[in-house]
Amino acid sequence: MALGYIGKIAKVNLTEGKVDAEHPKEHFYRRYLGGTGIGAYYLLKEMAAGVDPLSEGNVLVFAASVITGTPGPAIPRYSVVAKSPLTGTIGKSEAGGFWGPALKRGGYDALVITGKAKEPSYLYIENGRLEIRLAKHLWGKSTGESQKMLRDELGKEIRVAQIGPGGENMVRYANICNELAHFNGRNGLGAVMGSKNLKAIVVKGSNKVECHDETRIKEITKFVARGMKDHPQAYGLYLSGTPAGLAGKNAGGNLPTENWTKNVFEDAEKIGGEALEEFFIKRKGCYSCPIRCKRVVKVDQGEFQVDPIYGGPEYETLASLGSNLGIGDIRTLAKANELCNKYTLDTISLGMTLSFAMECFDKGLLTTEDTDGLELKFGRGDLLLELIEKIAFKKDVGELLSEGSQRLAEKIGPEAMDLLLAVKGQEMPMHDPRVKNGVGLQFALSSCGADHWTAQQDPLFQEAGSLGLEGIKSLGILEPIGPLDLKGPKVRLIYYTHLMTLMYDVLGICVFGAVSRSILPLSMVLDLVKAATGWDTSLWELLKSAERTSNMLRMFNVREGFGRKDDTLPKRLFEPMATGPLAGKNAISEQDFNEAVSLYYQMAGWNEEGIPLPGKVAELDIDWVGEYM
Amino acid sequence: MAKVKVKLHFVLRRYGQAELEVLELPDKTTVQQLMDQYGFAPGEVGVVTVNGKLPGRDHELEDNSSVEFYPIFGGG
Ligand code: SF4
Repeated sequence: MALGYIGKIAKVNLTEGKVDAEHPKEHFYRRYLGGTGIGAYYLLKEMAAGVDPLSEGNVLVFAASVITGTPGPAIPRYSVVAKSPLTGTIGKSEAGGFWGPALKRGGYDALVITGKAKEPSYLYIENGRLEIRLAKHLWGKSTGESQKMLRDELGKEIRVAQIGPGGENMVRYANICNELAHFNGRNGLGAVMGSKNLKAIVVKGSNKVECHDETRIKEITKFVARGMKDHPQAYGLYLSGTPAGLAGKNAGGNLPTENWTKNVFEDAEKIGGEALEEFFIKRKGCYSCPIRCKRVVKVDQGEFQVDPIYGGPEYETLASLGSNLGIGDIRTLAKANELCNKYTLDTISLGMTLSFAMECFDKGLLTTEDTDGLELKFGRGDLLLELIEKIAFKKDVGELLSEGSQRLAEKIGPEAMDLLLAVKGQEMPMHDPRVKNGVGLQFALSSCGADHWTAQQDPLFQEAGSLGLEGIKSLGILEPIGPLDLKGPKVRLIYYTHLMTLMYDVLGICVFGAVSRSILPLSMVLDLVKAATGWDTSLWELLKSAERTSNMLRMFNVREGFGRKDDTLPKRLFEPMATGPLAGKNAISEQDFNEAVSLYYQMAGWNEEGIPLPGKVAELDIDWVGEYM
Repeated sequence: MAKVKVKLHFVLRRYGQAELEVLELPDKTTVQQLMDQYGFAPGEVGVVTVNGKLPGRDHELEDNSSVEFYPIFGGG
């Protein structure tokens, strides 16, 4: 009997309107575990190289894991995997919330969706049954409206993963949202849903996920609930959420400001965690998670209202749409966040595309002739709100901006390339690698373009005895490592924590729940898998599964023509900081960086071009990929 | 003695009596010694500013210095 996993994966062909199911054997689940592992498997097998990501040839996978849906702590995540319309690489993105556990409780481990529906459609899943239904009445509606209509129609217990107009109109950085406030944020996977005429996936699941030892799983949840308040990082998340990070970044001289031309923002205090408190109404969390780090805001006075059903802005949003655009008004940012959530736009790529366009405008590379008369200037909150509408509906200049910053740069020409802050076409998150060089390696080496959760971040490991370092001692990282270091120990730290973080992704574990960012120790991650599945497994086997996935992602990209030339960083990061307490300092050495990339390849078992060596492929038991290369 | 203003941000506030405190410290007290006095857990402090600058932990605090402690932020 399957324990932990369901043993059923749906195959949905939207072109033919056909629904089928596969019943993989236990070894499939043990090898790939879930999430991106399962997603990469199907993408490699079922998709040809060179497919246009917005064509019906793209394969779209939604996958939970062998522990999702159990009562364990901080494991709400599921992955969406498809070829990314933003980067052209494999695309992957995780979301918390409630949808992943509901998918399992609804009778499926994963969905593999191919083709394109003739008319707007949604998938309806209820306890092992899957139907393709018409969604004409939902098309064009905001996420809040669609969710309400679906609930009125199908009952309050449903969970909805869906796109708003941004996804329908195939904005290249449209995301997918569940329960209006949790997102598969990056890589433009919402546009892939839009290209398939797929508005939503609705799940009603009331089956219990059978486990080998549920008592042990509940004990681990109790451990997190009891210990959370004594764990500074977990408690910090509970107390103030991610917005608290903004003040420290500004004080530390590394808050991305005005397309990273500045490193401190004079109005930082007006847009940070404290400013947001004025509109805070309650905490929210995810399925079976005691940490409850999400902060819900409501604005009901002043020139505009912000509806609390859309949650509240996280750090990334406050920085990418705030300091990065020179906007120092928290109400505007709360409103912008609400609009992005209604329309399903990724706030990081949106903010960075706008800031890039603004710097180009400032330097005369874009003029009002290109922007339908709009003055694209930093610091204009009204302009931000107007542009979000234009982008989501691809109106006027919104069409140009909906393509993301790299395509815009290619259109403008070589001078614009120097101002671009993207890796493999994906805009950089709000973490400046010049104060934590390992984050630069993550950005460069990520298979999905710049991403800040490809590994863990350097500052957690700089002090002996710190929770971050103690949390990964069982991986054999024993000594503190400084943040401005790119030598062997740092590369090893990034490689090992990449495997650890990807293990979380494939298992659906939230990075805000587990070490090194939070409280759940690695030993208990292992216990969760053992208790869910009954397997006599080990951390070794789980990390090897993550390494397997990492290599499958790489091989997908190799098949698409990506290689070493793409594992690099934007020019600005090799230049010193411009303003603030670090002005004139902290340029990353290009030579050190290139050496670190080579070293990483060697540690990973890849050749100088970043291609997995045959021995590595054999060791990971994925020789089969060769047939599809 | 040096009079030093200390501000604790967010989760670090639980170490102090108030969000903003004025302390009398022996001359030549270093940033690290002040941190030890508060008893922060290792690695819990991410950024320390003294008068808006980023000196090292061995920096000696002068009279009328303003020190701010921000929690570690390991990704958001
Ligand atoms: S730590 Fe926060 S984001 Fe993660 S599962 Fe818990 S509530 Fe959700």
